[in-house]
Amino acid sequence: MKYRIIATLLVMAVAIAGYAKDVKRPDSYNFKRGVELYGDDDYDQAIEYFNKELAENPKNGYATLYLGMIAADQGRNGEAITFAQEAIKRIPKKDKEYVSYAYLVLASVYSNIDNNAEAERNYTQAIALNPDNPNNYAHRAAYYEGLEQWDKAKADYRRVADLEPGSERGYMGMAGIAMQQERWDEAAERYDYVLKLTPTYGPALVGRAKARTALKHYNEASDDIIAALEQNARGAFSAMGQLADSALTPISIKLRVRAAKEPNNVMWLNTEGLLYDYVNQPRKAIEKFEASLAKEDNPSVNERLASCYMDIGDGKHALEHINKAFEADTTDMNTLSTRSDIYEMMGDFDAAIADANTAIEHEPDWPYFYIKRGNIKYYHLADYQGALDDFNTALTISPDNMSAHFMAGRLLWDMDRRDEAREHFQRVVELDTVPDNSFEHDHFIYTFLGQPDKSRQLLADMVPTHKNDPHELYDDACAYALLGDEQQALDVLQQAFECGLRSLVHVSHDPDLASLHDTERFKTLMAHYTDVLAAELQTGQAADDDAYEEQIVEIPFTTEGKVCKVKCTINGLPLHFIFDTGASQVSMSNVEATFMLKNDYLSSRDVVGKANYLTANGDISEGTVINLRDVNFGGLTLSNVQASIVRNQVAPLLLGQSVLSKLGKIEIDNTRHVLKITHRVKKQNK
Amino acid sequence: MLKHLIITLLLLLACTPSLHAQNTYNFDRGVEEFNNGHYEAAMQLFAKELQRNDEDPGSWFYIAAIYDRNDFLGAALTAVNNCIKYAAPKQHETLAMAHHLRSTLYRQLGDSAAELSDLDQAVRHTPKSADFLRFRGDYFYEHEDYDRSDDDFNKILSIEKDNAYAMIALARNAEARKQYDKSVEWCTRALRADPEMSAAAHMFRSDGYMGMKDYDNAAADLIAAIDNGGGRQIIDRINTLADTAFTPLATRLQEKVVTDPENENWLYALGMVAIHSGHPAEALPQLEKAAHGGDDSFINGMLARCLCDVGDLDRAISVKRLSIERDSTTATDTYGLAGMLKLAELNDEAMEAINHYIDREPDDGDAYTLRADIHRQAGRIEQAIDDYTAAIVLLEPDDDSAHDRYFRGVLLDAQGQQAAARDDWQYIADNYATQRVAALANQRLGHTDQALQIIDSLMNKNESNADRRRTLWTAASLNALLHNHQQAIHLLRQACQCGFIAPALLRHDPDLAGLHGNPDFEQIIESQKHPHENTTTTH
Repeated sequence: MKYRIIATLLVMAVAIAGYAKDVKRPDSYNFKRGVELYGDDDYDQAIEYFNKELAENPKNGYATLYLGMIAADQGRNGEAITFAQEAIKRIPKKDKEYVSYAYLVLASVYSNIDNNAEAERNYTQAIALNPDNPNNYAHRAAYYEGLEQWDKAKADYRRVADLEPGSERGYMGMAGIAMQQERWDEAAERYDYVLKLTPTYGPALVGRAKARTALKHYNEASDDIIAALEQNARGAFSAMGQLADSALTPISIKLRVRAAKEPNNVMWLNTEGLLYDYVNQPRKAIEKFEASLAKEDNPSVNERLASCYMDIGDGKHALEHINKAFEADTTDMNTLSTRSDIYEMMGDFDAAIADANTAIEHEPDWPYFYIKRGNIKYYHLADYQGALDDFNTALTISPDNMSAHFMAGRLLWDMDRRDEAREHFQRVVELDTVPDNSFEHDHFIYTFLGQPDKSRQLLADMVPTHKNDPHELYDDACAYALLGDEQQALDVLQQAFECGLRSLVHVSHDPDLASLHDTERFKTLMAHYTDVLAAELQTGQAADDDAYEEQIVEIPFTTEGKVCKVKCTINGLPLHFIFDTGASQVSMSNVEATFMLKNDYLSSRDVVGKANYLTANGDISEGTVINLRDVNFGGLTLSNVQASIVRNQVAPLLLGQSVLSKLGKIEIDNTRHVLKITHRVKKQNK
Repeated sequence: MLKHLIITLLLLLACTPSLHAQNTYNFDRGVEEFNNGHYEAAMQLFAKELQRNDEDPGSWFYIAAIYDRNDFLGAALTAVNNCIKYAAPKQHETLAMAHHLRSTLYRQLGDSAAELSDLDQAVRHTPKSADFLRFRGDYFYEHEDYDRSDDDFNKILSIEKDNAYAMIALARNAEARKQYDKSVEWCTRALRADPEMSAAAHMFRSDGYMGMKDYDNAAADLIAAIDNGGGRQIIDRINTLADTAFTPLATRLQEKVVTDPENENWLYALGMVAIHSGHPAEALPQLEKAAHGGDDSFINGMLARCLCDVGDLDRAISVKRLSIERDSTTATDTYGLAGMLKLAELNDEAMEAINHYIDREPDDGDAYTLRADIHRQAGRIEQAIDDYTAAIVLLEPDDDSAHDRYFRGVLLDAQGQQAAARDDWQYIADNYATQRVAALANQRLGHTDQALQIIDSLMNKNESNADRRRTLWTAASLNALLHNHQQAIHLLRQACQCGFIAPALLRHDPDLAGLHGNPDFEQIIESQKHPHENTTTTH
């Protein structure tokens, strides 16, 4: 809220100005310019000006302190310490604020280099000099938190809260400590208080959602997550995932209700889609993403849909959507990478390789695409040397890339170069140092390193937690197969199929399952799920084919200069729009929009989005987004089209290509002055 | 929150000149914009003023008030702290207002000690101000410190001897101590002192008379409160009186309907009382007359409800439909219609109506409950379970979900999901322990003793007709579950004598499934088909 920003700045101005009243601080040009550049993060220039200042005034402790701060920001810890110590000597003693700050800088640097004794001493000194500055306590509290000295940290955050009772900071600190100690009730209470201070404070909404999830107050946690999503709060999606892991129902219902309450805001449909994607329910995710696309074209949604269709084995629709995503941005190699995966899934390895080649041409320094190409060559084309070259290239670019090491090891194992393979696997083990984020193929690696019991132990712990995830179960099945545990491997593979695994081409070519390929049960499973997939796809395709047919509609246009003008009606009001192939969306002038509002062609419910406000006298302001319920031309109707309002009074109604393309394929016939739209209509029942 | 905001604004209007050391354009414009409700513009003007003089207490005060209005309590607190910091010690009015504003912030933050501390400061700065004494007096009342509350209100009376608010507050304190005669006395004095406060004085005096069990006078005072413009908040109090003194109250209301036909509050009150007490027929003749040819949705709504309660579902539905035709924007009418159609077992039409309502109010948990009931009645079990689940998610933890939990449990049990069903019933037993449905939930869990204990306790309670009907019905259900069919039939007959129970509800009640095929049960259902044809009213 802008009120907050204005007032916060005012409060700071008051505080600083008040303090500076008794002390003369430098006001030379060089010093002030240096401070300005520091504020803009232009460190090189700032250093230059501070050095100029010191050349003229060598005893300027303030400039020295700023140099110390820059050194600290840049990780030059030794220099930072030297500058800060010098600053303490030079800054006038009565300027306790700045001397205190110098001690704070020292404390931070010592903390960074793990010299805890000095860090604590300097924090304490900073506080002693300026005991009413909440920042000092806040910094020390964070330091104590890092050392897990919870009581000390809490005491400092309490002091922060006492010194600035209207600020979230102290209470958030105490809440964070309660979370770390898993005192969920206390944490929730603290977050409650923060949200009373500032109802829209995103981090508190996310924190309280997590605390409430831990307390199994799932309905309330869902409310918090929705509020956090509304605020675009960081961590909101992660908190949603955590909640969904425990209780999918409440959050999915609340999202559904929210989507119904705000039908013009596709964010809720997209969030539902992401939720279902996260919990491995791709069909439900598809339903939501398709509904979102029907309202608003979005390449990210197309990309998500492609991924979901891939999950259910529907290559045709996956390709359709990834192509739309790629059309929107042909420089996005990640999209191309996904398309390569789709081609691979469909068995079109040439196309898969072609896309990987293109990605590599555009991004030759990304190891990821070499690994992808190498996998295709290895799994499907038996081009072992080609694959090895790709994995080695990836390792040349990124020598610590665990995936590249793993794949190189795997391939070398199959090439019977076991010693080299083991070296790669050993390297993965050495690199895998993050305890809570282990490498995804640990349960394979120990098998290859001759420690099958370790692999089995990992699997025994992991498999029960993967019960609804077909991809994780598939990996587990592969791991069992490599261990030679045939029965276990087939059981888990069947489970993966039952959970929705449909990448049959990959399964049939995966060298990890080579030991199972000749078993009757494997053959039976593959045959059965080939039929299942065919039936599933048949149902979807038949539904499409039975219901729809293509029609061509021609709509006349006039030209004025270089623009095409087409007659239309919007919510019943006759207008002309400019067909703009360059524009992606819809825009109209605020004059037009205000006219529509005042004459009931629009209502206040049609004003949507974050910029949704009307001025006090009922006008619509620039930046507002409105929903046009019915845009009709030539008998064709677009429903719920979102339009941005521009201030320019003579700005025409612009309809972009991507909006019109929702109707179908658009062609411009300049000879006959018609727009030809090829679209699908529902067949009439005879 | 609204009340304290209004009070703050009024104080601001009164004290504006004192909030500012010297008049400046920005400050004065800011006050003007604030008074016109243009808070964003006002904020910018006060911010400009602070750029000129960052120690202006008046600007800080207004900024705090704006933040408070927008529920940003933290920012409000910071701003009002600055106001207090920069106000000169002799700016007593400013400081009193600032401390009062801060007390309201602490109240909202739940810090009672800090709230009181600021109220004390406000009084200290302006000891002759009745307003701040009143705020503190109300604080003490809310914290049940009646003696100190009395002190404050007596102090007000020493300053303003005819202050009716203080008198009513003293009456309120006396009533809290069960000193009903004193309470009545204070209210009588308030009535003499200030006719403008008549509604409140009559309302509180009726509380006193209720405490003295003088129901005639209690009824007379409530009627007088409504007469003096008391409005719907007083009417809602009438239900409490109706539980113990329905007849004298209904008689007085019926008289007022005849003698003051322009004031529709009488019909509303009569309708509410009749429905609440389980005597809907009492209100029908007057409602029919008032509704005839008219398009007052409120009267039509009340009429439809009474018709429904006497069992005339066809007419109830017809009145409701007419009401919707005349004004389709009132979503609640569609909800009411769906309920009536369900009772009449017109499931498809009920579904259409409730879907229409849910389209407009998708977050109303009760709507999913109703739709779930319709699905259940129509035999669509999966959909019913889904909707009960949605209702539970939307209603909990703040609203009652016992009905949803109970019936979801029953349906899950029927599907073989015993563990999930038991979870639902256990939730009821834990969270709604004394409610009727808890008796049934306990029985389903096999805790028969507990179930019987709950029913016995309810049967011994003094209840209104409507509540008694529900208790008897629940007792009948419990007995049916215990296979005491004869007792179940007997209790069900008694329940029907207390008021109409729709045949559809009886037929589809899973707790009464054991009575299906019993001729006495069928006869009870038959008797409920047109009970309104035998209804008489007591005039």
